Amino acid sequence: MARVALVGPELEENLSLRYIAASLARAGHTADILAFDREADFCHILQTVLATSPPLVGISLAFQWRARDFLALAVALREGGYRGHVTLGGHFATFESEAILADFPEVDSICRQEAEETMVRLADALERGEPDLLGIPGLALRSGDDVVLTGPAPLPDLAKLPWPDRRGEPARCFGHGIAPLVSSRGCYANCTFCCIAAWHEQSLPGKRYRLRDVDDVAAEMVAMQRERGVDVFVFHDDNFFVPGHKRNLERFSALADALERRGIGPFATVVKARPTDVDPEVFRVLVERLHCIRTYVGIETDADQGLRTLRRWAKSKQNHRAIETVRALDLYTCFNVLLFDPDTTLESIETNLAFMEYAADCPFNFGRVELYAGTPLLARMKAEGRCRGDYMQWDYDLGSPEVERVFALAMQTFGPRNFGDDALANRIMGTRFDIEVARRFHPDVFDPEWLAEGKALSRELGVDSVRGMRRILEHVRRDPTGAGDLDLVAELAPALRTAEQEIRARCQALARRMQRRIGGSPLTDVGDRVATPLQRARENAASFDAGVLS
Amino acid sequence: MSEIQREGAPRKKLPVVQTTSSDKTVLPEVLPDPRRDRATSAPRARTLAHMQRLLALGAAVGVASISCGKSNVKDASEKRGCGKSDDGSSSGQNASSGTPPLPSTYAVVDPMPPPAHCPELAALLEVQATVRQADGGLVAVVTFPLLESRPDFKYVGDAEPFVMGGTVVGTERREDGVTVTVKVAPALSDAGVSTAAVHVSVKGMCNQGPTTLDARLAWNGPATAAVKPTVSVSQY
Repeated sequence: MARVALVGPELEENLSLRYIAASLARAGHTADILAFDREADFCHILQTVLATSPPLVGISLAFQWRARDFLALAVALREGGYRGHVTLGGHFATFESEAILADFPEVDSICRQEAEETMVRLADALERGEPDLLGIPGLALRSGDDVVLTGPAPLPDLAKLPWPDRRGEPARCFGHGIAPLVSSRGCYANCTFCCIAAWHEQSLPGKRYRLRDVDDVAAEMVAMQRERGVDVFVFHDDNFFVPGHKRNLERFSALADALERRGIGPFATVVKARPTDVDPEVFRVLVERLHCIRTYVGIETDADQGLRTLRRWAKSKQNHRAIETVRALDLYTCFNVLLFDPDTTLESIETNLAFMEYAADCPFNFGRVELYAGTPLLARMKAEGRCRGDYMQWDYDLGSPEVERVFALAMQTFGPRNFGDDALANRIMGTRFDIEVARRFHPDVFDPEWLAEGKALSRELGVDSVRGMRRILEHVRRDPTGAGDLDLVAELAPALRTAEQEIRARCQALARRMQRRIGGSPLTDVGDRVATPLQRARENAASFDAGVLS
Repeated sequence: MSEIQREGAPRKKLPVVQTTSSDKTVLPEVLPDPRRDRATSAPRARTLAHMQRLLALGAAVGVASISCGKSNVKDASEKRGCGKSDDGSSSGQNASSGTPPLPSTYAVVDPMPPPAHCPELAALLEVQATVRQADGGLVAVVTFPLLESRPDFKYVGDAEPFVMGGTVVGTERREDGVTVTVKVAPALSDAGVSTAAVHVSVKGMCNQGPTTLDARLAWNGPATAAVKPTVSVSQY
């Protein structure tokens, strides 16, 4: 039995690590899961691994923007004297395996693609002391000065994989357990900014997704409810939907039937969809039988130019139809808009702002398309000579100086709202989640005013964002020299912060009202989570001194 | 047998997830921050610099003066209170607030460590290092000098050095600088180590505020007294 340390983000239960942990356990190995969620975790993990010295450390490198953190850990382990085998896995590590192995001699190997079986074979080989790992399929590793890719690993049979390791307590919202799961792997679409299609095309040419049997999914959900008190199931499938509404209807109905047969208690689901998946009949089954309380709809762009650049296989009218459908079902929906892409024009920004305003009752965020490893868009930008940087972080100039200026001004003014510490554009999605959990599980105390207030808050924030972006657009058109840019930022940024402050306070007040009626903790940060009784006493005293104690 | 343990997976009590916070949440579909990390150096150099910041952060939140050598971790943890607390729970905290941020905030707003003051010091400072074989193993003596050209700069007297890859044996503070004696972690001398490195960081103060200087002693192979290590100085 080998002991394996698995390191990765764990803000949510990390299914990639937990699937691997379950496979290792079935093969007789023991896995520790070490959460690396924030910088303060770094030394804790370092100490733990050095103290326990497992023969194998597996580091999840799925997210490119966390690559520095995890590669730094690999280097620090070596500098601290760790002598075991360090392997990486995940999307970024797979696509950039040759560059990483060339730059980081501290890393021994990379498990490419889906790694459950590769990790088991690696642990087996290290336990037996086998010096030559070249016989293990699915690896990238050094052989002399070369990086060698061993043959493709057979894809795990989803029907035979053990369910993910579910150690630890699940997340909770008002006391209701929440857990992620997947009912499939892969996606039928092939968007240019996404690496999922390339990932699955590499491992299974010609077939981009595999489905789990719905009865197996139902069994896992019921087991999680009975053993862990999980009521809210967040489907983290690359794409929860298959092509064709009829097939989706059949699959979701079958899943609902299987859950009923197994006697599941009150539950709710959370899914993600492409706009083209949002069919009224399919979504009625989702809402009424699978009790979907939230769907993320991948709008990404509503401009014809953006739809082409991103290869969305969707039209603007399908985006609008998707919003109308979820509104008719009163289903909480959120989305993102990739407002800036390599071909964006001022006109396409205007089109997307109009969509954001139209759908502002749904919480949304907006940003720029990033060039991730393995994506068709990165390949295109490299071919066009438009990339700057290196494989860890690509950057690029937008299509025109005007759009570049709009982007720069947007980042200077909207940074805290969209990406900053406690970004409200993200946090408000948690408030809407709180409302839906209350509506689904506590109808006896649910106040319809909560939902009305949640929608109003989403709309206020959304409309305020649109208003701010239109000011930027207008400014760039009116002032081509850029002389007034600093003045604009100085005026707009404080106005945005003021609006955020007010909306955040109302979100917190709403969450407190729900909390008083329901009990437990909401996902909305109610603002006093870290305050000690002493701190609260001081705050009260300060308020009293200022004459504002109510 | 529980269905969750199907396919012959052995049913046994599993260790809990080790983390500095047990908080779990539901994540929105987070967009990446496009401003992050405009690359100015090679991937490896950026990663090494980032590692030093992460180690410094560990020092700032209470994992200070740890030796990451295998033989010393347990003692250091007990002494400094890092790792497990008295009740067995994890003890680390978010350095900035104690509230776990959403991932969108990770490495975007980066409050720790504080910005380097007087960043030119690292280039001016010629840190001296000697390594000798002693009875108890390899010993490195690292001297951080004062700078005649910078009378505003001094080392902070009561701050313990931060060491990685060894343990502090002694610290001597003199008018002309600080000398730190370090027992190198034995594991760094094992055959097969590709890059052995010891970090020694000391705190200082200049006319702009506090700063930390880090000397990295690196061997192209195992640590040994027979080969002089390369010494590089960085600052954070």
